[in-house]
Amino acid sequence: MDQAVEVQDNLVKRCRKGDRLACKQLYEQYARAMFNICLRMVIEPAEAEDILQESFLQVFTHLSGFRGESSIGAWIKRIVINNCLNHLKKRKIRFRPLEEHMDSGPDGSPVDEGAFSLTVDRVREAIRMLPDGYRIVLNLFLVEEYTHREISRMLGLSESAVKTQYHRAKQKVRAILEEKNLDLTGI
Amino acid sequence: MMNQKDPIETFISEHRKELDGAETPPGVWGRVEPALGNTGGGKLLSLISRQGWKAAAVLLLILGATYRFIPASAGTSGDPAELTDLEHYYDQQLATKLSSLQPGGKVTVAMLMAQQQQDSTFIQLREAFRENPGNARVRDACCQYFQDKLDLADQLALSVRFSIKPIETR
Repeated sequence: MDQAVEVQDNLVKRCRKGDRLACKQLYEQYARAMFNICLRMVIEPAEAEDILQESFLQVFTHLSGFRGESSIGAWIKRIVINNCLNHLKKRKIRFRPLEEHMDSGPDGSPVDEGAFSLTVDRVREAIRMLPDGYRIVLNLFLVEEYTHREISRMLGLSESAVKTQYHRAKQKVRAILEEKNLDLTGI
Repeated sequence: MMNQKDPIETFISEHRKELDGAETPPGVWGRVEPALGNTGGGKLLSLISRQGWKAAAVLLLILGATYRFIPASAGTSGDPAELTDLEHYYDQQLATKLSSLQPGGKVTVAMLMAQQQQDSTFIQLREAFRENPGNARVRDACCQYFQDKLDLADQLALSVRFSIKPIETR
């Protein structure tokens, strides 16, 4: 067995036995990444913090149900994302209808790479400005690397609807970046 | 059909880790940790439930008295690093709990670690740890030892919080 996998397995076993130090180690290993997921999904830091806390309580409560079919990190991430989605459902996420007109031209139009510059902060901010539905699909596919099929199951949408939402989300990000670029250059 | 690589997709896949820029807020673990299961605390809980606040008060006095008579020179040199880490972590938790139980008192990690050097159970566990480095059963037994103490403090805190009544005066 791979040494890193063995170390993780031992950590999970110790957590299952109620070893609080092991629980803390598991928390410290994943909390930052999971908090960033929450923040990308729900935007508000206070809400993200609540979801992080609730998620880790669920992780430690249900650890006996972890069967090792995925990595422990992927299992924790799925709990966090489910909690984010449940939280967002209360906000009634709106997925844009297919016929809605987009601000940034037709789907599949050529990309003018010179029209905007990319930095981590600008991309993060552009994603943050997306409407809930677009932001969720874009984050799940592009950042969290779930497949369209997995996302369609999570959201209860058809696979084609997820693909459409994703393409439109990406166009919207591009439009935001272009707009911001104009602001920055003063054109 | 144009098959151009999307610059946004490329950028995000190349800078994925940098997107995790926010730090974990402090205090979340502090709210998660108390909710973790209290393994091994059942017997103690039933004892305290039966005997009520008097048992809790007696246990608290015993713990408090023990710390006062510990030689300050007692130490942990020569212990395996893993055991020292365990001891330090659990004693930090325990010191915080006990200090909150003793009005005006302050239990320190050093006091707790020193007290353990006199405890026959801990002495046996430490020997087993030294002789069997990396043995999961020995490590689990050590964890159980520390957690039982932590559970004791949790149960004391519960008992004191809910059972001690003010003395009635005429």
